[in-house]
Amino acid sequence: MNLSKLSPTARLVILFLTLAGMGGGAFAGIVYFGPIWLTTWAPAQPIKFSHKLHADTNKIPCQYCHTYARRSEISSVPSADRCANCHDYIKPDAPEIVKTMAHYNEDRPIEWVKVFDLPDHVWFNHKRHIAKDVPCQKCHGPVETMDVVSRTNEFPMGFCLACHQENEAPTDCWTCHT
Amino acid sequence: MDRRSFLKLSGVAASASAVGACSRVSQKVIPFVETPNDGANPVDGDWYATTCRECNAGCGIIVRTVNGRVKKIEGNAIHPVSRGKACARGQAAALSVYHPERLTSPMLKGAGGFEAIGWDKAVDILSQRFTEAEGKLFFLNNGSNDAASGIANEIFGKMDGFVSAGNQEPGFESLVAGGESLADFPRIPFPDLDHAQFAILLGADIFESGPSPVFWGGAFGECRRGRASVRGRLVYAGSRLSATAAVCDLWLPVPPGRLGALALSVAQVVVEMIITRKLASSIPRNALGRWSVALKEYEPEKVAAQLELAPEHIRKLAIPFVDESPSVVIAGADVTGYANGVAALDAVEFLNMLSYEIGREKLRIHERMTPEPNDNLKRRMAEALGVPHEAHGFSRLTDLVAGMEQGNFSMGIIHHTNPVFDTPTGLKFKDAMAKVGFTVAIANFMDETAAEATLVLPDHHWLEAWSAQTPDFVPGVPVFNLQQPVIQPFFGTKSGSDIMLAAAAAAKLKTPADTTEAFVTGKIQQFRAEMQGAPAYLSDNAFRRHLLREGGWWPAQVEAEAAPVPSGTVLWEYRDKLKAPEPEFDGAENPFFLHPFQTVHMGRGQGANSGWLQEAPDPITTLMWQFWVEMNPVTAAKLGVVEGDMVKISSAHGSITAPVFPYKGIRPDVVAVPIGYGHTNYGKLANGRGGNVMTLLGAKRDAISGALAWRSQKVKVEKAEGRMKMLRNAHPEGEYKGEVFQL
Repeated sequence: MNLSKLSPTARLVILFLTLAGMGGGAFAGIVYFGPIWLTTWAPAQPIKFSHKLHADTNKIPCQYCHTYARRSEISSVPSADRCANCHDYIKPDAPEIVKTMAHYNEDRPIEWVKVFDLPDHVWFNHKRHIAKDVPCQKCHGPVETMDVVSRTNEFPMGFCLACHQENEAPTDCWTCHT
Repeated sequence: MDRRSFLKLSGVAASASAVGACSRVSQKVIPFVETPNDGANPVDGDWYATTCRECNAGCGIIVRTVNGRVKKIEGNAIHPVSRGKACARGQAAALSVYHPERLTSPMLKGAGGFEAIGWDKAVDILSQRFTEAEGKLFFLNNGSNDAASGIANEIFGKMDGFVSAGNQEPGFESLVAGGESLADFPRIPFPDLDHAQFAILLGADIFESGPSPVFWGGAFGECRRGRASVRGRLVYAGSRLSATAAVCDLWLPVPPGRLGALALSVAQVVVEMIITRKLASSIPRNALGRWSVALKEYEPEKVAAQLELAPEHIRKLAIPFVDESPSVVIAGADVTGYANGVAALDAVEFLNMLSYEIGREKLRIHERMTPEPNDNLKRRMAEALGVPHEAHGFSRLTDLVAGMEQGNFSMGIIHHTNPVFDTPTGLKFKDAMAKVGFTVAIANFMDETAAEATLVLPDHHWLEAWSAQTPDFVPGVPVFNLQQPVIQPFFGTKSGSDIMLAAAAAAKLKTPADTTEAFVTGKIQQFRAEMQGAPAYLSDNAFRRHLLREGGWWPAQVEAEAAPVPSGTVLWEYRDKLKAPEPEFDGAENPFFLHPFQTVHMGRGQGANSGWLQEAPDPITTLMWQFWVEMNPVTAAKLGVVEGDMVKISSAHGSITAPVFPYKGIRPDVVAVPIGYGHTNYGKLANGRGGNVMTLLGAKRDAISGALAWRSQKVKVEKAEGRMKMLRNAHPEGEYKGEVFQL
């Protein structure tokens, strides 16, 4: 097609359509792939707890600490007495453990920063996913390799749906948006 | 626009949206220090005990939170005020936490209106003003004794020129003044409806307004169905069949302001019955003789005409009052709303005392009427958390406004109250506020008063904040309510009382504590030795946690031993007080009595911005999302209007227009208008919905207590342009008369 043969108006329309297409594509890209680019968020926590050391080196199962994952909709962050169970004896002098035990002894809860979160209009139930043997890493990423937990996933709706379709789990709206 | 700038702009827009998508608020997860023995249940969520602060009743509530979000509010079953129940407004508080119109940032008024400032700057400004004010400031709240008013009083209380006042619900002050007749301290009479067999409600809309709707709801349940063989009987007298009257057995439509005369007429018959039947041996015979003479002019035959009743109607109240003893009389808004209110309350107290004297052999009753043994502790707790009763009323508010107009204050703090909207136009609060150099509004939402303030500080919602409170409206027992945050703050707010403490500390003023939480803990320690029944062996910290679990402290045994009954000299004092003065009205030349009334949903207007409350049908009219004026169908016919026609209601002070709702349960000379509608600056759900009935009122006051006589206004009503479709949920006269929606 020879653009110079077209009238100025037609050329403007084509330019506009091209730009609109590019803009739309860029927008879709941000929405779809954006979450993948945002996977580096790893907030500083009040205690430098290493999942790598606990879950990989020492092979402690996730649910030893996150006890509610198989029983309820949330996985729960362990209460400080669970740390004390072991660290009364194991490396009680390490600086981070001294800090943790101070919380326990002074009756001060540890204020962890939430890394993974879903908006309030989504109802997610850990218990059901554990019952179906969905590995924690499927959503949370390789947490056992991390010293500081980072958000590996923003959980866009497509992420949930892809897995639900693959496993023939329900995909009607009310499953999650109750 | 040329091509280059178009491309530039597109680039900027794309990157802006990408950056916007990245922003996130970091939330915290705070686990237990120790897993509770019974196992916390994250599925059902956690229930926290706290205190409802939607009105001043001080109901103990429990709040269900799941994953750090408030989901449900219910009554605290062990609490003496709420007894496990919560009203519509209390339950709707769960929604207001997440209200999109909540204020999130401090705002300072400049030349171009409000502009957002940071918290550091807000504290700087506040502390500078505290220094400059040198005590010439006022603290105005909704009349509640809570940690914020306690803190303000401890910081500024000793300075010359400091005034603390409460914008209390109308009627409160008269109830206190009426209660003083029996005791030499301010108190609110609480007739024991729980144990009564027969109750006369004199204009007492106890389930929809007044001291404590939830408490009275529980008492009504006990009275009606709490006993196996007795079904309590209730009679309502007043000019409108309110939601309370609708559940009584009989309604007597007495003209406005005449309920005192009705009470005395009933008393006359009762006194004669006591004399002829030789009842109530505890009353000295010569006292009976004096009363008999004094009450002669209130014989049913003599007052029947002014009450527009037949004499036998009055006897129908008086005879069961003796025969079905124990009986009680409860006075409410249709007594305290007129300028002769306190005089009528004396008559009510008198009747209640007679009832006690008659019924004491049969049942232990009215112990709650008498000076409570614990009252001293109750009063001291109230004062430790705020201001004495006498500061909670229209008299003090009137004095405050006079002081503001005279320039006595260089600064004012207005804490969770909206006097520009909910006080009568005649008080001229808004004009007075403009004469105070610097006013601070501590609030959750922008409202008519905050809009007039110089600095607006967004407070935590009460479900997010620490406080403590002592309810005034609880029979007999002292109650120390605790309020704890049940969730983390949802928006960028800060506790108003914490900010006052921080600013006062920066201004080098003496502060009672560093934070509100520490202040509350200090108050628990102060009273711990007197908090009987609570475990004494606990450490201070464990004791505090015990109280937090329970929701506060109150004596374990609410049904205390019967206290000594006032008799002898106290009874004698009544001989001079048995009078029912003529009611006086503003605008007496106008044809209609204006009957403003509160609904349980709107309160004094605080409920108007809640979708849940607007959607909840009014119990009488079943109207939703709508303002209305009630008038008798006879009146409507005379004015030539039908349901939905607009009428103009006007007094010397102002006028409003409202659609007509014809209602048989109202006297033809009365028009009734709900309070709380007609906001102008309270968010999109509230603004422009109806008219504000307070704009029709002058500031007429009770002759004795000085309380606002909010029903002593007469008005003109005339047909206006236009019609409005009335959004009814059902027909007020029952299902079968309602319109059926056909699909």
